[in-house]
Amino acid sequence: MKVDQKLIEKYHLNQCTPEERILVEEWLVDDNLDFSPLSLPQFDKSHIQSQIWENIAANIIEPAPIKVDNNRKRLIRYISIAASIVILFGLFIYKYNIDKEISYAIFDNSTSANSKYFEKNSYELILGKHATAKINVETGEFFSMGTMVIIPKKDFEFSFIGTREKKELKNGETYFILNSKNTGKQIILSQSELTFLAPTIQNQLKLQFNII
Amino acid sequence: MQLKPISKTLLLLLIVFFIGCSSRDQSNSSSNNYSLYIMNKNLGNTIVTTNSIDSGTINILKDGIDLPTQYFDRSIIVHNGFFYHIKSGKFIKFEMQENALTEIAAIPMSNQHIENMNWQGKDTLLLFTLDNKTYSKLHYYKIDVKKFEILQKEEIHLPVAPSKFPIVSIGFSTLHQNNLILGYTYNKVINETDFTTIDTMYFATLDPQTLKIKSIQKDNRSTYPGGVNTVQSYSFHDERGNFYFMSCPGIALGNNLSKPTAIFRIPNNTTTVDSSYFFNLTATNQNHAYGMWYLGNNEAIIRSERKDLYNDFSDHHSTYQFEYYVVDLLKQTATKLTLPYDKGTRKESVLVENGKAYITIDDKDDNHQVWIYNIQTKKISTGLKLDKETDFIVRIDKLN
Repeated sequence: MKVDQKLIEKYHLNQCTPEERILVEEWLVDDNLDFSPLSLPQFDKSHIQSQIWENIAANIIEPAPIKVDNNRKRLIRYISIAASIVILFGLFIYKYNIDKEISYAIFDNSTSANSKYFEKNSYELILGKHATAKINVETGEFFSMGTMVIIPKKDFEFSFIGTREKKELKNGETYFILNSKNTGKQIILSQSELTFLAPTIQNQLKLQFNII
Repeated sequence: MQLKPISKTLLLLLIVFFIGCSSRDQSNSSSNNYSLYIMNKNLGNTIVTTNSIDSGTINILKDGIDLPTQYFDRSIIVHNGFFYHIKSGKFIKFEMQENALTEIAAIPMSNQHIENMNWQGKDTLLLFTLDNKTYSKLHYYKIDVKKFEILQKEEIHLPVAPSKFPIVSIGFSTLHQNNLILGYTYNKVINETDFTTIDTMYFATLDPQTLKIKSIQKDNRSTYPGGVNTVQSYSFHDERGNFYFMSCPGIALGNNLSKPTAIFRIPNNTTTVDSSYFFNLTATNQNHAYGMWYLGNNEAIIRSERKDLYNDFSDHHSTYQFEYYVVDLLKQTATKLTLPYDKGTRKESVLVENGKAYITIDDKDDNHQVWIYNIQTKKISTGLKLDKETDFIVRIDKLN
């Protein structure tokens, strides 16, 4: 007996004989069996298709249509622009503060009997014992108390107490800045010029700044 | 005449060889007679050597040898074709090679600096050093500079320093009457830019072999006898063996202005400073002086400051103020030489040779040259010129 449409209908209506049932069930599980497609007239096929679709369509929940909210979009755009500006401005202020920090600096070693070393972007500074300094690389103001050594990392011009002209300090050179307690004047000497000081004073400077 | 290719090549090589060799005459050589040490306007240091200081021009950057200021300064010792300097714990012997001063030998000498040097003959150097920490521990070295080794090293035990003046300054050393005589004094630091010297000059007589102190004299007619003689000269023996030295209480050395700059003498037959000889230069010139060089025949040159031209120690070295005087040691007179004002606080700026005094001056017109004083005729002329890259000529020495 062949498994055909009629037999399958009977199976579903539970009208099969036991032999017929076994046959169908075997047919169902058997993957190897040749199965000639059930022939259906074309008209029937498309009719069945539309019937099936109608049944499904009745049960489909239509999704809500997507609302295009122009106002919301505009608002978000404006907020993001504003935020970018605020962030950029903030960065700018931060950088300016840092730069400002670099161009004007105060150094305090007033409580220590030892030398203290500082490194900035544009110079190195060694304060001697109990020394302080206020340096503004933009205006050229150089206020100092005590003895110190400065090694510029670029060419500078500074104005010192006691001399009218600005003094040029060169990149890479070592300069000693002394404060005369007697006259209140600042004295600036390059490392080479130290040799002109009295030996006793030279020796004290060499001791304090560890120059052999 | 047609030359074979190989002959042409050999001839070319010969020509190149001679050109190469002949151009060596002008450039720096350790066989040249004179050496000058320069502090440049570009803050570097240069050394130039030359065979003539009577004439000529030198461009220091082109013709000189650059000396890195981390390793060299003007306290370098120039002697017999070689250079000597203490640095970074070593006493080093240098030779001029190609375009540099090259280290050829070294003796360890740590944590000390040279206060005084004294040549005994061509090959023996005496050094007196102080420690770099307390500036009060004194050592003596006798060095064979040919073998470059220490022949003798002793600590000299000076008496304990007077209270409040803990720093020692050695001003001269001399082998005199089979004794070693040291002139010295004591300093104190008042603050970082101020110091002074005790009111007294000290003289120690030592056994030259054992360096044990035999006696000590004091003299308070002045203070700060001599000075650091690796930087400048302050003393000499005359033809008869009398020893003269200058005292330097001026601001550049002793900074005790209650005392005068003066010349003193240790006569040839004693080790005591002559109490009857007192050439008071400050009374004569109304100023202090630093530096003294013997001309022969009881005459010397001194280098004197002008207190009316400078403000204080800060501009002492940069003010054009220094004058050169010829002093007569017996008549005790001082005659100013007609020369431009010089600058630079202390310099070894006078070289005496062949009846002439060669004086280097850096003047206010930015000229840096040798001036020649003829001792016999008393005439002055100009000699060797250095170019305007020069800031200070700080040494003129006989090299060979």
